[in-house]
Parts: sequence; structure tokens; C-alpha cells
Amino acid sequence: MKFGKDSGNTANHADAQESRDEMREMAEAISLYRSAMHHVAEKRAARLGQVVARPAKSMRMRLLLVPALGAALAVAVMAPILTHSHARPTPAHSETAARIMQPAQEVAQASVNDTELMDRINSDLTQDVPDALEPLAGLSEQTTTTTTTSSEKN
Amino acid sequence: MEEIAGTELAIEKKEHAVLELADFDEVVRVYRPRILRFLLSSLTDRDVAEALTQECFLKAWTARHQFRGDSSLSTWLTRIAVNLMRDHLRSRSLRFWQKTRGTALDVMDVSDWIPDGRSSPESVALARAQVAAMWKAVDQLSAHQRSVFVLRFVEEMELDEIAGTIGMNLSTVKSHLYRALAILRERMGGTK
Repeated sequence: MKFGKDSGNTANHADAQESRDEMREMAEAISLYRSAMHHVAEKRAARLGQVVARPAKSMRMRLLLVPALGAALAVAVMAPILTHSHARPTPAHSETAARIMQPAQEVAQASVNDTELMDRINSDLTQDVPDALEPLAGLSEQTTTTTTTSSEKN
Repeated sequence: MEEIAGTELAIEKKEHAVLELADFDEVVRVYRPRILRFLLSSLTDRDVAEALTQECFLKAWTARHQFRGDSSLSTWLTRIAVNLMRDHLRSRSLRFWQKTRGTALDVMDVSDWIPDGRSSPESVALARAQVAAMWKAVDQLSAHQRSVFVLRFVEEMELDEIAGTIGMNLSTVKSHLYRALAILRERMGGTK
């Protein structure tokens, strides 16, 4: 650092000396601060590395375990469904099925009977007039002829 | 000829950077103290500094293909850390933490630190007191002043490198550094 011509002056010289001392102290404080920060950060980083390494291991285990557990769960869920769909019906199942099917068969049978009955009624109705009613048929014919003759008379 | 040599050097640099990034565990091991140191000094909060250090390496890992090797790996990582710090300072959560971090200065636990060249208990105690005073003084700087100061005097980066890392003009960096030193000098002088 250069000083002016009046640097010989005692007051200025003292000021400059003080300033230099201050700067030296400042530089020393900064150097100590840097050293302390390096120390603290290295210590913390080492601790942080240990903390991070542990979850990394557990994460690796988790990566292996999760698919395995998932597969086991899938097998546990799918196996009963698949075996059920491929299984032959057991006697118990047949009985249950028969019990379920029985009312339907009864309904079907009943509907067949109803149809037969309706057919029978239909055929009875379309039959010719029974013999016992034949005189009535003749009478009706007479009535018509009488009506025609009387009208002719008029 | 010079152009070709420059291109070759750039390719070599890039290849070296890619190779360096390939072993990411080693990158983390080597650079974690540096990034943590920068964030710790800049934020003066241990928990936040550690969280952001982790995030910094996570970001670096996800963006490793974007690293072109234009700057050193150290500068690239520091730039990520600076951006994370900036985002964090902007976030609302920090305002909450700033109010509640009453014990943040405990981070400067230098009880087991022995400064070089000092053997007497008195000189060690004096050094620790100087560091504590400096820590308090740095904590009172503005975010920009603190970042520039830390990068220059703790990370020992060149001024143009700091400008590139922080994304500031060289003159702005110089201005921040000048003001930071003036404030520290005043505060440190006041502690005597």
C-alpha cells in the first residue's frame, strides 16, 4: 500500500498502522472462519453420508421385497379364482344347481300344461254344435223362412 | 489450428466431465462437503443446508445428461445449490423458519475444532471466539453479500467464476463483495 507525501505525519502514520492491523486481523478472522467452516462441513457431510447410506440399503431391500410381496399377493388372489373356474362340479354343487333349476322346470311344465289345456278348449269350441242342440238349429232356420214369407206377403 | 485445438480441448473437457459424472457415488462423496459448506455458510441453518444438499445432488442426478462440461463439475453443482437456495429464500416456508430458528447458530459448533498452529488453550479459545464473531457478522449480511463472500473467501473461487455461478455481472459481484467486507470489518471491529 502506497502512502502520500505527508505519510510522515505521525497521526496519519498511526491511522495507517491501525488500518493495517485491522486488515491483518480481518484476514486472520476470515482464514479461521474458512478453516472452521471446512471442519464443520466435513463433519456434517460425513454424518449425512452415514444417514443417507442406511436408507439406501433399506431402499434396496424394499426394491426387492415389494415386487416379491406383490407377486405373492397376486397369486393369493388369483389362485382361488382360477381353481374355481376350472373345477368340476361337486355333488353338493349339483344338488344346489338342481334346487335352483327345479322351480324353473316346474314353471316350464306348468306352461306346457296350460298350452295343452288352451288347445283343448279351442278345439272344443270349434267343434260342430252337439246333437242335443240340433232341433234348435232347425228352429232358427224356420224362423228365418217365416220372416221371409211374411215380408213377401206385405 | 488454434480453433481445432480449442474444439479438441472442449471435447476432452466434456468427455472428462461425463466420465466424472458416470460414477455418481464418487461425485457425491467428493463434492458433498463443498456444497454443504456453501449452503451452511450461506443459510446458517444446518437442517435446511442438509436438506438442500441432498436436493442438489438429486437434481444433479436427474439433470446429469444436460451437463455439457462448459464449466467444472464443482461450479455446475454450486450453481444448482445457488438456485435451490434462491428458491428456498423466496418460499414462504423460510419466513416461518427464519422466525423460529432460534438455535440456528448452534450449527457453528466448533468445540472439537483445533485451529492450525495453535497449541495453547488461550490461543485456541481466542480463535474460536474470532470464528463465532465472524459467524455472527456473516449471518447479518444480505443473501447476495453472504453468497459472494462465502464463494470468494470460503470456497476460494475467482470473481469471474462467482459471477458465472451466481448469474451476476462481474461489477455487481465486486460491489457485493466490497460492501460485505466493509460491513464485516465494521462488525468485527465493534466486537473488539
